[in-house]
Amino acid sequence: MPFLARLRRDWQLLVMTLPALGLVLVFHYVPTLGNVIAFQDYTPYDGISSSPWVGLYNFQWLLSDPEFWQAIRNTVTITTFQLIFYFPIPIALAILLDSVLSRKLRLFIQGIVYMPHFFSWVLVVSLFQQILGGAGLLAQTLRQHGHEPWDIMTNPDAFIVLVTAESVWKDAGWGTIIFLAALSAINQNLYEAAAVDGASRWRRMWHITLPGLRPVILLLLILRLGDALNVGFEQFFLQRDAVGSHAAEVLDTFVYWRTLMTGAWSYGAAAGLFKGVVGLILIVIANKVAHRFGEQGIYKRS
Amino acid sequence: MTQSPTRRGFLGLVALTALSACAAPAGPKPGAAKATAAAMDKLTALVPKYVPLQVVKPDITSSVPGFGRDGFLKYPATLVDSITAKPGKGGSYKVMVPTWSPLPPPLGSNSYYDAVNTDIGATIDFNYLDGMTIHEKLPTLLAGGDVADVTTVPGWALTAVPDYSKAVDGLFEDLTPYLAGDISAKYPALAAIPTLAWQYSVFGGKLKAVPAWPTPMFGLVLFHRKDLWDKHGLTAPKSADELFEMGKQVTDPKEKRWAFGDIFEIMREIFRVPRKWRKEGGKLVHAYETPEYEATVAWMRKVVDNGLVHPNVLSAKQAADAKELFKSGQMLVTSDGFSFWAETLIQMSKENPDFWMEPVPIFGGDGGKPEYRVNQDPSYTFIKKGTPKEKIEELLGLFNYFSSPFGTQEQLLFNNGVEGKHFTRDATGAPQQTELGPKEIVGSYVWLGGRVDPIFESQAHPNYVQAATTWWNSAVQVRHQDPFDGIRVQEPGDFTAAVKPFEDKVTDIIRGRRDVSTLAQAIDEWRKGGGDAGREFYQKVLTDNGRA
Repeated sequence: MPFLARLRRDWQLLVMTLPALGLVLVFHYVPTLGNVIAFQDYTPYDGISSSPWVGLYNFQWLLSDPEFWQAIRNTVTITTFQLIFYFPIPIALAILLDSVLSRKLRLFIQGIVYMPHFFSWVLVVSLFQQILGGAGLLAQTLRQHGHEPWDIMTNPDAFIVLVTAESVWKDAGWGTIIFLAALSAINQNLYEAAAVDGASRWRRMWHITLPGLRPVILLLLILRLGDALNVGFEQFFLQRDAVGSHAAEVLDTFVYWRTLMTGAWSYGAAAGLFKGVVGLILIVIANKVAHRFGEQGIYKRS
Repeated sequence: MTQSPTRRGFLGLVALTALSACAAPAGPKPGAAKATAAAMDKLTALVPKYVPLQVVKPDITSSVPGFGRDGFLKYPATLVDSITAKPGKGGSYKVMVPTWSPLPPPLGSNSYYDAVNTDIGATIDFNYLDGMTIHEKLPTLLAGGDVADVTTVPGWALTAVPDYSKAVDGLFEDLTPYLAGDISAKYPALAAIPTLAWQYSVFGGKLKAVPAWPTPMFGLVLFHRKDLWDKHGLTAPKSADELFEMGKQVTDPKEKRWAFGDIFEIMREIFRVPRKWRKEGGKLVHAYETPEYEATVAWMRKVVDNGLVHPNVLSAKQAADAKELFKSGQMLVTSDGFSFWAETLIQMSKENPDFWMEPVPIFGGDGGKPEYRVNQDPSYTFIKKGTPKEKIEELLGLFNYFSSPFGTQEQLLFNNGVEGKHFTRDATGAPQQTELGPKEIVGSYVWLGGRVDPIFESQAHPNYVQAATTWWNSAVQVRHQDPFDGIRVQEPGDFTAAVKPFEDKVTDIIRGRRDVSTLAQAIDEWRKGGGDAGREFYQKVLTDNGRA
């Protein structure tokens, strides 16, 4: 069909996308242009127009900055750890929830596991402190019974487990929502047919439930990879002094301390751009891999 | 003074492009901003002439002019009505001030605002910025440039902003034409603000702000729960080692009682670590490089290793609940600002009549004298750039009103609210807050003027004024003498940037994650990372100001 004919046919649909396009333009594309300050020695009081251009020097400094690499190392370690120990939990939880037959009980459990998602990190960290901290419930109970409590909140070696536990407690429940939706889309007849053929519970899960979830799992996995250098800011910011920068400095806190607090705006923009490029490369690779496996991935050349 | 007062370009400004010493890239190091310094004593011509204004005679007179504080043991019997005409002309202003209190009800449902706004004949609408995080928000706030009609910021928060002099120059109105010279007839209360505070308000050769809180302040005070201290049979420590031993005696985790909070910074003063630099044989030695600093770090590490610091202080960011732990007796020694003393006594007198806290009596880390640091830079109240002349004059009239000293009716109103509503008078005639008082009144109007406030507190413990005045006036006598006193410095960016990585390492040492012996290496990295560049810059500032 020629372009004009298609336009005549679809113009209402196109008009409907305009507000969304406008939002993306104003809040995504225009601010993205601000990244040019990564190639400048920028101060906000001079503005982009009169700040001097310095080419790639900011990136050169960044790549020769050991603290930057330390932050990258921490970020990647935490991402990898959470990919293995955090990512599967919402899936398991969703399957578990789906198997609860009583509707009332299910809603009750859902209410409980969703709730922490709405707590701020400040609250989550102080709740953990009240319970696991050196003067918290666990430590005091141990002391009452003559044991020396061990160190949980201020142990740099266990920090990665601590932050993952906090994330699981806060967000695992919320993460089940999308999987529950996918589960409800699986054709119930398949289960019946399999049961008639004598498939056990486990076999039904292996051959029906998990394949049914596969597209969603892969989609989220790809998105997560694109976000690999994003592990969150507040959680690490709040607990940085407790375990030291060596364990808790991630890319976002590095940008905050090293650049925003010292007025090195351009340096921060360079670090941000670096992060974006790495994320883009990871997404493209993961998407390619997904296509190889015959999945849709997040986008496809038509 | 040989210069003519009309010329403004005589400032000893120093601009130094800090070149990086490292081998790496040839381009400029990110954030190596242009550093400047300005000495206060050269600025007399730009600021108002000092004309003192005392309306009532204090009971205790300070012995150290410029640093000490007077005290009132009882409230003055008669108040002076110092400003009879309404200073306002019906203008309406949005004002941003920092606060460390819970937010009061907003304009429209706050009778305290209504009463003061009616008395001044103008509408002031306050917008509060959380004081605990102000130093983290201010850089982006100023860079964004979206400031209120009037903005008040503490000096220490402002000077932590990178490139702050450019921000001040671009965002705020020049007040020199309105305030230089003798203004005692027009703004008598503003003329009574000490000269040094005015001199600090000069930025880039222009008088940019009205100083708030012109009293030199102690940044931190080492407080202890004297009531519990006595109960455990402890006395005043004479050295850091004695303090450590006493801390060991009172700490009992089973009873949920630990001796110390986050006291590293104040212990640095007690160990006589300089604020930033010390002059040794014409050379500058940085605080980090002194043996006193190492001694403080080692002492703190010992305290942490022995489990004498409250665990919450170690696991939370900046000891978020330190105040509560101290009040509840879970923690016996803490450091906080001077005003924490009166605030806490007022609150606790209702809950626990035996509660009594006071600063740990003056002692030095090695048994000698400490060196308490006194912040001389005031807070600054700025007027937004582009405000018309008549509005600026109205605002200055209002600032004069809010500079009315203790003992005036104006001060009673903006400090305590309306009699019968926010406060009642006790038997001695002193105002006592009602229940509504603290709900509606948080520090707001008090930021809009500069008064050297005497110590007076009717609602705290009856011993407070005597104890506080005595402590203050003896503490200022052991104050730290800084080679850069009276010079406002904007540091080279990489010098500022070197601080955080170094202090992270020190935190690691104190918390037991690194060995004390690694301090030397950390100092070495600090020197290379910007410390030596900073030394060069500061050395030049000394030379330029004839102090080398």
